[in-house]
Amino acid sequence: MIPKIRHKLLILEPTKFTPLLAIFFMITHFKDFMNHPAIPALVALIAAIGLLFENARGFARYWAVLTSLYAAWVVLNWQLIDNHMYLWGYWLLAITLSHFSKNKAKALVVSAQYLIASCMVYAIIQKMNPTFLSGDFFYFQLLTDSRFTFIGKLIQFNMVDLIVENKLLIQEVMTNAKTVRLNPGPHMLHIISQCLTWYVIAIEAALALVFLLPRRVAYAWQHWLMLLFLSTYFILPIKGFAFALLSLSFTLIKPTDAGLKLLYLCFMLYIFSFSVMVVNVFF
Amino acid sequence: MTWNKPTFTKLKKLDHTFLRFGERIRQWLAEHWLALIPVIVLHAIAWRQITLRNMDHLDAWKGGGFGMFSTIGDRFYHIHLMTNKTFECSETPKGLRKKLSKTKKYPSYMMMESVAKELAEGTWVYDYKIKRDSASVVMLGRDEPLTQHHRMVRFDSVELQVFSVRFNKETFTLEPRLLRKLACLK
Repeated sequence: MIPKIRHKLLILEPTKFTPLLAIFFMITHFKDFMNHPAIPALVALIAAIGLLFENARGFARYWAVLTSLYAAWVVLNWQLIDNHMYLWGYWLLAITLSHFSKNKAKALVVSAQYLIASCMVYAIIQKMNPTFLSGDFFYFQLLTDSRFTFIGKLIQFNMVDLIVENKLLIQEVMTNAKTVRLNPGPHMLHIISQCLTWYVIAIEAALALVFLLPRRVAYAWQHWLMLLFLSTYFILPIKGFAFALLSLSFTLIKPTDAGLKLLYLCFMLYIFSFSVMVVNVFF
Repeated sequence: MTWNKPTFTKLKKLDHTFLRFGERIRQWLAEHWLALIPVIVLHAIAWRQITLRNMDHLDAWKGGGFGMFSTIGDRFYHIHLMTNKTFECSETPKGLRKKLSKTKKYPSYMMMESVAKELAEGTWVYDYKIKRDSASVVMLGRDEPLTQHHRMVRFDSVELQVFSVRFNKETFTLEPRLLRKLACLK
C-alpha cells in the first residue's frame, strides 16, 4: 500500500495537477453570488466541464474564458471581495498565459513564485502602520473576533463572553456613533497581541525574502516557511487564502519530492474538510 | 593602507561579468516575460489600492492591496433625513444594501453622490408595523405600496455619513471617526 501511494505521488506532476486544483477551488469556493448570479453560475459550469474532461483543461481558450469571466466578476465587486480572490484571479491569468509559453511548467513555476513573493511584500508594506506596529490591531481582534476564542482555552479565560460583550459595545458605537469603553479582558491578552504582531511581521518578511530568492537556492526554506505560516490556519480556518497559497506553493514542489507533495495534499484535505470541525471540537 | 589602481585586465574582467549578468537577465526576461504579466498586474492593482487607501479612504482589507489583518477594518454608515433643524436616522433600504456596502468600503465622492441621490429620490415613511408607539424610518421599495402602517416622512435633504472606528489600547476606548459625509437635496 505505502509503495503504491509513494509511486502515485512520484508520478504526480505538480505543474499538471495545479490546474485541476484551480478548478476544484472554483467549484467549491466560488459560490458568492453578490447580485451577479449569471457570472458565478457560468464560472461553475465551465469549471465543472474542466473537472470532467481532462482535454478541456489543456486548451488555452478554456482558461481564457474562465479567466475573463472571473475578471468580470472581480471588476464588478472589487470593493467587496477579499484579497485572496484577487490572488486567485492572477493565478488563473498565469495558467492561461502558461499555454502560450514555450515551457509551460517553467512559466507556472515563475508565476507562482513571484506571485507569492509579491503578495507577502505588500502584506508587510501594509502592516507598517502605527495601529499594527503598536499591537493595537491584534489586541482589538482578540477582544472582538470570535475566530480567536481558542485563545481562551490556552489562558484559562472565558473569551466567548468577553467577545460577545465587546461585540455588543461595538454595535452601540455603530448605532449611536458615540465612544464606548471596551472590556479589556486579562492582562495576558496584551502580551499575546504583542507576540502575534511580531510573529506575523517576522514570518511574512521571511516568506517575502525567501520567495524572492532563486528556487534552487531556497527551495527547502520556501516550503518549510510556507508550511509554518500556513500552520496558523490549523486553528484559524480562513479557507480561501490558505488554499490559494497552498495551490501556488504546490506548483513549486520538485516532481521527485513525494514527501512534500503528501504533506501539502494532507494540508489541503484538512483545510477543506476538517479545519472547522477540529476548531469547534477542541476550542 | 594603499589603494592599488585596478589594471586594465581587471576592469575588462569586471566589465565582462556585468555584461554576462546583464545578458543573463535579458535572456531570462525574454523567456519568462509572459509568466511575469500576472505579477505586474498584481503590482499595478496593489499600488492603486495603496494610493486609494491613503488618499480616498479605501478600506485596507479590500481592493487587492493585501492589507488584510493590517488595521481595524470595522466601518459603518448612517443615513439621515434632514429637515430645517432636525434629522431622522433611517434604516438601511433593502434595495440599496449592496451599494451601501460598497460605499462603506470605498466612500468615494462619486459613489456617495450616486447613493445619496437614490436615497433622496426614494419614498420615505414611518413604519408602525412592529410597534404601535414607535416607528422606524424606512424607504419603500419600488413596487412596495403605502399601507395603513405607514406615514410619510417630510425631509429636505438626505445626508450619508461613513465612519470607521479608532481603538485606543491605553484607555480601551473605541471611538467613531467620520470619514466622509455628503448631503443631497430632495
